[in-house]
Amino acid sequence: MKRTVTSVCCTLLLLLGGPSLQAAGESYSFGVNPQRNAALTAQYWNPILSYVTRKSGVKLEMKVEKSGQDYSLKVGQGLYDFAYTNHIFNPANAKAGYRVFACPDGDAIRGEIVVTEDSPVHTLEDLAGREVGFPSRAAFVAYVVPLDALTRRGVVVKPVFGGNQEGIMAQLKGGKVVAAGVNSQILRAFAQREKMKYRVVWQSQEFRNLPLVAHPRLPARIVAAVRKALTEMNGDPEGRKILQTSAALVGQTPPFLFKASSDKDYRNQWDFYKTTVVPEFRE
Amino acid sequence: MRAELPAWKHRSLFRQLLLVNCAIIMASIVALSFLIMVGTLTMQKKRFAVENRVRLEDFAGAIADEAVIGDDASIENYLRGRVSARDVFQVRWIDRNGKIIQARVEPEKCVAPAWLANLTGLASQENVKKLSFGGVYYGELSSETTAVATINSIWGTLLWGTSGIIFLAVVLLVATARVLRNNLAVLEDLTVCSQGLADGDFSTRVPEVTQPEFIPIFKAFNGMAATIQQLIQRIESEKQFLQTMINSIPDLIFIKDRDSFYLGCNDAFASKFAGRSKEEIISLSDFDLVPDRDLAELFRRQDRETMAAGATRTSEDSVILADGSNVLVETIKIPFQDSAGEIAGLIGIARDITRRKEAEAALFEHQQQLLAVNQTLEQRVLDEVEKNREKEHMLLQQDKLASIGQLAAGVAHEINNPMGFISSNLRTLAEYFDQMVQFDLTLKELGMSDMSSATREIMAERRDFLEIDQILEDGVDLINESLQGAKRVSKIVHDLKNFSRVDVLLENEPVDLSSCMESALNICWNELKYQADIRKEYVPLPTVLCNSGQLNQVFLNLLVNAGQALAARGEIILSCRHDDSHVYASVADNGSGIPEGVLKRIFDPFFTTKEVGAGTGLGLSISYEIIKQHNGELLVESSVGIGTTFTVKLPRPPAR
Repeated sequence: MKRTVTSVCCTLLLLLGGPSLQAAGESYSFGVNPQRNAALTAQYWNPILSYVTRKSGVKLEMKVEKSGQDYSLKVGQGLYDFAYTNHIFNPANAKAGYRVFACPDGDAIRGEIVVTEDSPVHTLEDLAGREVGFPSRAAFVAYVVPLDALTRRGVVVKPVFGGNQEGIMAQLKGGKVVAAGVNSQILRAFAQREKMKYRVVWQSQEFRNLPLVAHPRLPARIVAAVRKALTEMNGDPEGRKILQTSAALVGQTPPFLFKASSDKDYRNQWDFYKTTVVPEFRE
Repeated sequence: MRAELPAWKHRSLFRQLLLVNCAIIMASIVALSFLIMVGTLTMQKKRFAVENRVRLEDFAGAIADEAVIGDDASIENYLRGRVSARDVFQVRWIDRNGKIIQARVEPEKCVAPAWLANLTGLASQENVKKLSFGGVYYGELSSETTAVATINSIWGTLLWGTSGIIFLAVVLLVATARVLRNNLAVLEDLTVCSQGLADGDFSTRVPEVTQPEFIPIFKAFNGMAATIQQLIQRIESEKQFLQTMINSIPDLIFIKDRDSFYLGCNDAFASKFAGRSKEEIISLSDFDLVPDRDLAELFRRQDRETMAAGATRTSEDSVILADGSNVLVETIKIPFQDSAGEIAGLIGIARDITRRKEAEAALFEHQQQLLAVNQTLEQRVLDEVEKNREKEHMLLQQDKLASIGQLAAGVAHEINNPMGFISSNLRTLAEYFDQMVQFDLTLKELGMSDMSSATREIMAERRDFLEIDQILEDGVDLINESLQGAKRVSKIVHDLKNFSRVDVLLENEPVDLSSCMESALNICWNELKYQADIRKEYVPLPTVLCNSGQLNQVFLNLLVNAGQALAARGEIILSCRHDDSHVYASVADNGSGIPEGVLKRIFDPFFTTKEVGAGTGLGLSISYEIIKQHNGELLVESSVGIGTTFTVKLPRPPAR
């Protein structure tokens, strides 16, 4: 019921004009890509968003969805004011017009197909005809990129979706799937936290980690304020502590900071969709 | 004085143990039940609270994602699936916007009384949990829970437990009673066996038990019974042995109490003295056993004196035994004490000493006889010693005589040679002298006529001066006498050599007794010729086997004694004869004879009637011994004033 009401409200607001939504005291939605379960996502992002809210004066309210598919759908609809996602590069969602304004600093991410350490699977070809887990159809490095690689090799698998990154990793750990398409950074943090041993069967090229994007309807000063608060967070002891605490919560490796970014920093992801052999993702 | 025991202590052990066990069991069950109840309730309350919190946490975790996402439908759906009439009968979710999502069912009816529900606090409980993630409040989750099942279960447990406890108590009591009865039955065995032991049944043993608590006691009891049995058997054996030993003693042994009544006796006393069985004697006194009341009174007095003195007493009494014989007994009475050290009676040992006394008398008499015999024996030993001494002297004298004989033989041998050429020269000289006589006769017949008167005168003068005619006249006689003398010397030497045949002293040879007498006579002839005339009445004799030297010595002694027996010149008759068995040689004189008193001792060593130094007193003694050694006899016949005849009687050798 609440979700329905919120969706309707958001749609109405978009139709009536964004600026009125960004009046002082209003909150801005911050849609987080469901890489982990909702509660953990909330534990991770709520302190950060609260800090940013205090520092920027822009009240941010975290939003998560039941699945990456739902989330991706909402991204495509432009329902979030801010988002932490790479679903915007999907041609289907690109029309929402989100723009990159910041991103987490640190290593690039890769799409990987991994198996448990003692698995008999050693090559992608070994997965032919078998059930392979993925977070969701919307997951870029964890599904789109691996599926492209499988398709390019002519390996047809039976996809199984876990809802989010850690959900499918848990299924891999529990032996419910023989292999899983994952985000390398999410996997590493999960494996460290859950003491899971795995072996990488296939690995994609590097991609920059998920960007923080803003809907074009937002005023520039709002986005700027948010970007400023985020990028300066590491320089503030309080902000740095929050970052460290949140990173420790999910097993994230340093550095724990955000930096300013733009669409051009994600050119290869834009380009991927132009060259992918998977028909459903091609522009 | 011991205090009066409380009433319960007079009850049997079984009842006491049963009561104590009942009390303990009931108290234990009630206490245990109470503890279990309290523990169960406490545990259930804690568990109820914990379960509620955990369950609520579980619910919160389950709807966390939905709460963050705001998925009310999923929350409601989830909550509806969680409620139950038996526990969580209501769950409510109020989000941060105040929206309420609730799921509820009617709780199960509680059958337990309200007080129990209130007491336990399990009737219902409400728990609330606020959900915040990353500092953002998402809502409040609450649950209302009932433990009606637990309460009902506790109530049921209480009902059934109480029934069970009562049942268990009854079972325990029955089991306890049974166990006690069994164990006490074992003690009853012990009691029966102890009574048996006390009654003298030392072979009694308690049966084996399986209860470990009783095993040491029963083993100890059986060990004690076995030890007592062994001791009793040993005592019985020793008693039997002592009884047998006492009964086998021929002495009369009896035991009396301090009032002189018999307590017991041995077989000898019963049969010999009392003439009754041992059992009949017990409790009798001497007045019952001894017909002589004075003797019985004496015995009683002796008993009292013995026990009063507390010391052993010995007496000798004449008593009449059961067979009527009168015997003398030596009775030793020894008082004995009881365990308190008091004189309890006496032990008497009476021994028949009649024979001993007789034996002692006989022994005394024998002793006197032995003393007399000893004195006689002593005298005889002294006499024998004296005789041995005399024999030693005699043997010594024989040795001396043998030495003298040996010396005489040596001297005779030395004399014999010169006597040979003396005799030869004398015979030659006799012939020469006879030729000179013939020549002188011739000279006188022829030469005187042709000679001048002067020459004749000178010749006559010289002849006369030189006593030629006398020499010629005596010369023949002188030479003849010398020859006769030389001949006699040769004869003496010859006899002396024969007389002293010391070299064949121990060897017998056939000898003619008459020649022996001749040899002896020749030896002593020079002495006898002035005292006696010798008359020889020889007859041819058979030879006898004897030592001629010793026989010569015998005859020499007899001849010398015969000569010495002649006060004036008398006659000595040498005679011999024989019969079929013996040869007799006698030397008889017609001297003074030997008095009868002297005649008995003439053969005793050192007995002599001669003057001191004239004889040793050994001659006849030695002669007697020599003849005795030749299995012969030296016989003497003498009449005072008529003469004495000694006869050598020797056996003839057996005919070949």
